[in-house]
Amino acid sequence: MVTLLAALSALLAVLLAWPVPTRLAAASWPSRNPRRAITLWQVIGLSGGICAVGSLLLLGLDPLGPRWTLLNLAALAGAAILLSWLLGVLATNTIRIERHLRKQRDAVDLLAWTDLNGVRVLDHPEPAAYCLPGPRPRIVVTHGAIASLGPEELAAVLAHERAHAVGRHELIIQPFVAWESALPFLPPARRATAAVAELVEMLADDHAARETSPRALARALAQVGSDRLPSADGSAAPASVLPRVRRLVQ
Amino acid sequence: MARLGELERAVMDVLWNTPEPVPATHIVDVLPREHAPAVTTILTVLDRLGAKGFVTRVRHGRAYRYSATTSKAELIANTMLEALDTTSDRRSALVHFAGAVSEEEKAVLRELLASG
Repeated sequence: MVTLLAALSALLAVLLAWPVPTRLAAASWPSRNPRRAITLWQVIGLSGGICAVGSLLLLGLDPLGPRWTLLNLAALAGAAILLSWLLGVLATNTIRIERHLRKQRDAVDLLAWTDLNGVRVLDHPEPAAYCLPGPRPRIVVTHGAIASLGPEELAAVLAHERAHAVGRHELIIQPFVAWESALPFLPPARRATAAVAELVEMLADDHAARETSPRALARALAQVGSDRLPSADGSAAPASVLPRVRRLVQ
Repeated sequence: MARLGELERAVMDVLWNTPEPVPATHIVDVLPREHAPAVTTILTVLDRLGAKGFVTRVRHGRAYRYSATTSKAELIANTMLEALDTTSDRRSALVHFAGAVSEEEKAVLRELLASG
């Protein structure tokens, strides 16, 4: 009986690892309800992990014959290893990212001046705006961005970044990034991360559009997007702004 | 804590504006009046900045002389490059505003924003 449950759990884990994420990534409704889609992604990810570890655990706890065998031991060990690995990947990734963020914070604290609203301004000609997330976030904007955007557009950009900061969106994305890097042979993991990253941008877009206006944000996206040069080393280009602009304007 | 940050900025400004390595005493002399710190305070600040990688020191006789590791402009440029790096490892660290826009997309964007 328990072995049956173990098999079902394993089947569920496989479904949650491949066909289910693939379906969700291809669906069109998420852009209409990003918050719900994000929750669904999180549920898929969490249940997939639980089912994978759970199936090994169940197999380990059910003696297939009259006595417990080496298979049981192996399955239990497998469950323990899988769980530690999943948690370990998350921990290592968190530490690495925090180190990177700390360097960024130190540099920004040293280099930028702070305006009336607590926004950090960097003396750099290329337009950029970003958020250093965490419990004490910093919103950073360059002189280039201030120069190339009108007041309404700039307000929209800052509102977008504030939404990320206040919403602690880095906590949503980070587990996906961590497990994607640990599962490079699983294309759905990459699709999941890309989908969640996009959805998080939509959340921030919606927030900023409510605070200012959808058009102001769309114009800002178009402006800052066109000013960006392709990265010198040809690394993967960031997601296009076009779908986001379309979504705002329609 | 805010005062310490101000002091760090002031010390870096001195180092960025001085081409050759200087001793801590020189920094104390050159700092604006409102900071007026003790040499020991400045040494602590220089240590912190050294730990963060912004300052290096060379032995000069029995004392050290300090200098900034990079120019201010270079540091800003490097910081920006790292901040906007979208390789997957760091994607979750920073959420930044813009994506890329290709030439074809520019035309579509213009149309979208012109209507209505």
